[in-house]
Amino acid sequence: MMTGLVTDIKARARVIKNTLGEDVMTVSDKVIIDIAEKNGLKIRDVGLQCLEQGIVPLRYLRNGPAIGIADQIILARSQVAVVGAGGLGGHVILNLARLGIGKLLVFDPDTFDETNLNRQALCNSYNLGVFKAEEAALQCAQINPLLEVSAHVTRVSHPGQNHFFTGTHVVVDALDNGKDRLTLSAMAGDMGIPLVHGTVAGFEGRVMTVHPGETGMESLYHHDPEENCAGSAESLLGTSALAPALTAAFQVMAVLKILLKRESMPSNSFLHLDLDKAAVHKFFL
Amino acid sequence: MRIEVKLFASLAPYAAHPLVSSDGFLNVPSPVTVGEIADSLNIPHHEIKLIFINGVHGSLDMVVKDGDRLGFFPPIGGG
Repeated sequence: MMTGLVTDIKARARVIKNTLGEDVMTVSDKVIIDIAEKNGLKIRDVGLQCLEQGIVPLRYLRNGPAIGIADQIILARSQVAVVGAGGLGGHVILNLARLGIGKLLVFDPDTFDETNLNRQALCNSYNLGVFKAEEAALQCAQINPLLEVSAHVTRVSHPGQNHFFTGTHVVVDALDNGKDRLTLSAMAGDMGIPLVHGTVAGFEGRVMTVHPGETGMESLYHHDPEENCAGSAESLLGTSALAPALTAAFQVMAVLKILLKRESMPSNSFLHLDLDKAAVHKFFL
Repeated sequence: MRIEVKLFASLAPYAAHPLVSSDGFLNVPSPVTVGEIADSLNIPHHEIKLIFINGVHGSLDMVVKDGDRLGFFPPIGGG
């Protein structure tokens, strides 16, 4: 059966030149989906089988060589949980889907409203009132059918939910308040999973990687986890489309570095991103 | 002595203080603490969430040296 599958994939692969002028065996989504349906297999598994045979799905061709085929296989085998599908989460989810993360878990209890339209990548005039997590799963399926995406219309708010993250390689914090961030960081730590924190205000953003056992989130939020309103910078400045887009890109890069075992941010440090001043600063907690 | 002050996010307007040069430098007497510098710029302490001295986490009671870079952050929690 598997031999037949490999033969079928190879028979329907096509050699094309990549941007370096090298010959690369490629396959289209249509072929992958057709083979999966014919053999009663998951599309994700056939896509992974293609990569393992050195056959690049066309949708990933331009990821290389920055993300090579060995990296692409790691991404296809990875599971990432994104908690929050709003300003940061929307961009994070869409980027992870295009990169080819094999399994995405999306958590958000809320629905889209008109005040989300200025910045939330998943929100548009036609999906107001729709659950954000469910819309994320729908858009991911349209962008990349080689992935599995599960939507959870749930607030992640207590350690009794640790099991949500079983099998997850990285948790992304795309939340909007300190209290839930502290809980999420503790949950990820309990599960031994690295977490990538992001937050935004005005034209600025912050990104931090928290490895299990580290206390970066406590340093940022412990005194006043409830502060989510009056005095917080995002309330005083608002948040346009730009800071979430930039900050989310840095968060996804941090996820890639963890998954691909490339050099990560130093422990207990964060990057502050300032679009207005065109500056990136690193700080140590 | 001369120190550099960076005021982030909603604290940025305090950099318009006449003591702060357009490129973010400030002349202060020695010795001086981070808190005294915040006072001289009229920054209410409750608006300051994080303080960094030369990129490393500090506090209001720490003494500043000539040439130090100070960073002040408000609470930031948006997502």
